Amino acid sequence: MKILVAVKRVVDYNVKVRAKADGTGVETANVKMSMNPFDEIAVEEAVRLQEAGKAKEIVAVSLGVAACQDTIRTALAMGADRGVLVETDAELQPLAVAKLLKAVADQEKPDLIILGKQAIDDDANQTGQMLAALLGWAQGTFASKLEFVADALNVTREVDGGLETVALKLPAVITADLRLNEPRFVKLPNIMKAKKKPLAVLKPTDLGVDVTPRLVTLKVQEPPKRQAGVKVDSVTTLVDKLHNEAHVI
Amino acid sequence: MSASIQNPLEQLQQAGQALDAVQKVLDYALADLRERSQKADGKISAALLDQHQLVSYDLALSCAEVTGARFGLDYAKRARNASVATADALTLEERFALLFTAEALQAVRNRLSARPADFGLDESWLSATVDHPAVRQFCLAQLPAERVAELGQLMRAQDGVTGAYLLDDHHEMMRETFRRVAEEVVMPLAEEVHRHDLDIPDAILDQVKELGCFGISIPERFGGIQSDEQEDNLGMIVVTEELTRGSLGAAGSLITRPEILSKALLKGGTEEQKNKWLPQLAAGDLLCAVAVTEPNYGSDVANMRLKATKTEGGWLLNGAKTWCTFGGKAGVLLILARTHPDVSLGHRGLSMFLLEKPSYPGHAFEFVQEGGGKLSGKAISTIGYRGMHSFDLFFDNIFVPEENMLGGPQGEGKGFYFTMAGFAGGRIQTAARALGIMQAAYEKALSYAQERIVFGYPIGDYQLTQAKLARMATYLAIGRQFTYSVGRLMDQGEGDMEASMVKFFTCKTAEWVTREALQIHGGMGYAEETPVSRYFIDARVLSIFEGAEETLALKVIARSLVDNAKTKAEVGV
Repeated sequence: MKILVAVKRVVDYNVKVRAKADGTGVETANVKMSMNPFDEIAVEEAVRLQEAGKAKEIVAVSLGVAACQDTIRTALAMGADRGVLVETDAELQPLAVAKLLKAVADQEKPDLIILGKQAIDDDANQTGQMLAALLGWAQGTFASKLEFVADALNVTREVDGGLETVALKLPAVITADLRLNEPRFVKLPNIMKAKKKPLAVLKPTDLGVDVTPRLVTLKVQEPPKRQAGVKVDSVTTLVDKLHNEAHVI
Repeated sequence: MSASIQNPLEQLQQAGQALDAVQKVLDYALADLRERSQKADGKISAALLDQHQLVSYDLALSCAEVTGARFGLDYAKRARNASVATADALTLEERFALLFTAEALQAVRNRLSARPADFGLDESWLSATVDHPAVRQFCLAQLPAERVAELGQLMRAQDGVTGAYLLDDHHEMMRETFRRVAEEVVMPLAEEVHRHDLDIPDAILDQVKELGCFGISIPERFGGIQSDEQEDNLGMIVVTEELTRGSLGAAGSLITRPEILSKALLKGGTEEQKNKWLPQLAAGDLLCAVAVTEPNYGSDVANMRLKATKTEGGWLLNGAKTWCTFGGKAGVLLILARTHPDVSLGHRGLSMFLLEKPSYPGHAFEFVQEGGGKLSGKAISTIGYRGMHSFDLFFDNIFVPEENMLGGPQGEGKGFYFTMAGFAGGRIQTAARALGIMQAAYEKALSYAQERIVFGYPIGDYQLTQAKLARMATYLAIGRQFTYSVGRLMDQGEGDMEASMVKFFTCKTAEWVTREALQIHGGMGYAEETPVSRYFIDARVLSIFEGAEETLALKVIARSLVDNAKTKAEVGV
């Protein structure tokens, strides 16, 4: 089995995100970037499937600026076998990403594609679903557990109110939820090995995909500063304030 | 003010020119010191040099600061190339380099002008260099309170990051990995290890082992991760730095001993010895410790007394060693012993041995060999640097087989050189440990300065706190780049003296940075429950171990600077 894993370069989860002064987006100059944490879980799951003898090859794909190579290298150090970067400076929205991934999948012909359920920058949670639709493949989103049973892949999904298990036929698209696994620390020898693993660079035009954005961002602004709380001296005052000032009851 | 109108490039050029001027006066002072330390035959006499210890120390420190400032300016240039900054706005890294240079120039000026005659200088030398109008103008432009505080304000918006690290991809990946290891594995256990003087927990030891840290200074052909062609000191530095950010005693110092032992083995070991020991060390299956220091001889390595006497098939060791850090858990000890009874031979009578022993947990152990030889060890109680445990060791007829003499029969009498080869690695590694403690302390100081309200405002709103944060960040960022640059020099087979310089400088700086971090916390900083109290105590050991500050400054740095000093004629006037 061959697995394709999609990895996205995002503002590091430890960084306090700031809006640009002109409101056109989020400040990324001199900001630490790293792999989307849900994508790390996706890579980890692929590596575990390989270690369990279920998968033969893992290909890590990223889309975006040249620096996304760093993100791919991280995936290679975690255990992916080779990388593909579709390089572009253009803004990529979920539909464009899904189309590019479909084009890569058409070339690579994987049996399974694993993605993070969403990226922590735009929190769109759309790419996996769009990709499954474009490919016409089965999808198991918000996966918290994967299990191969005969020909089927049983995917436990975290849904409102509990867990749902769906049985998928391969090829399929999986999106990883937080509890699917805990990604490992990268070992030093593997960091050195990752330097030597192959990484191919393509352009969107090579894949014949038009990535022009279809949505326009009007404005990005920081949420209003939270006001300090007040202490109330009785339940009556509390109820009164909740009703008349906060209008929540 | 003119400085704010000047563009960054001009300011950096001025800094470089000011450093050139001051380098010249330092070169002259070194030439003078050389003349005063020469015997009639022109050779440098250690005894004569020792008559000028204060001058030697001040010159060593001044040269370290000026060297650091130069690396700082180079860093500012590289940081600008890597950023999207506009030509007329100073980058954070440029501000660090400029402030650091100005303070270094100011400090050198203070030292030289306090006692010019001792440096062989007269008034005209001072006015042509440290007091030159261009040098003064540069400092006066960089050092106004408002300007320093402005940098502090910028630091408050940085989430604890102290400038760009400018590492290449794989070093950055190592750094990120061990940053997480420090946060997720080390930090949750660090306080408990410190407060209760525990052994390093297996959760940390196993993780560090599994990730391959013990093989970081060992070439691939011996099971490590270094390329066989070239050393990679930078990898070792960043991993050490990040682990130490978690804890000096419970993580950051684990790599020091394998670093020393593998450097000594690579330098002096026979092929059989390398093949036998290095793979076990690289895998972390064999933990190690270094037994060099003796109760009466510390940095004074050449006078060691522990006796090795020839016996059938090997050597018998008798005597005492002290400050053998990790000596309990270690499965092999690297021991410097006197194999030639004639003490007047000095360092030429010393050889190195590898002694295998069981690994013992806790604060005391006794190892009895089949033949009756005995090694007992007892951990010395210390105010900080807990977790590793440093032992007093007593050797009573301990047998070491002859194949365990480093270098085989040819290694007899060469122990001192092998020790020094190991210690060069230990020094740069210790500079990295200083960086890790400073970064941890700085982060805590910054976050406390944002939260703690005094007289109605967060203390970070006040100028004095801003100046503190600015200076802490500056010394940390430049110290880091100084260390990285020396690591790169060492990869090229150079930088031995610079390794001592950067160890000397960063360890001294770490004492001050952790002091300021504690001070910003006020009473809470003095409470044991706050990590900054641990950083402060831990930082204090840095200037003592791996080459005491005074020995490094006088015997290594000043000596090397004097040995390589230009003549007065070469310096010119």
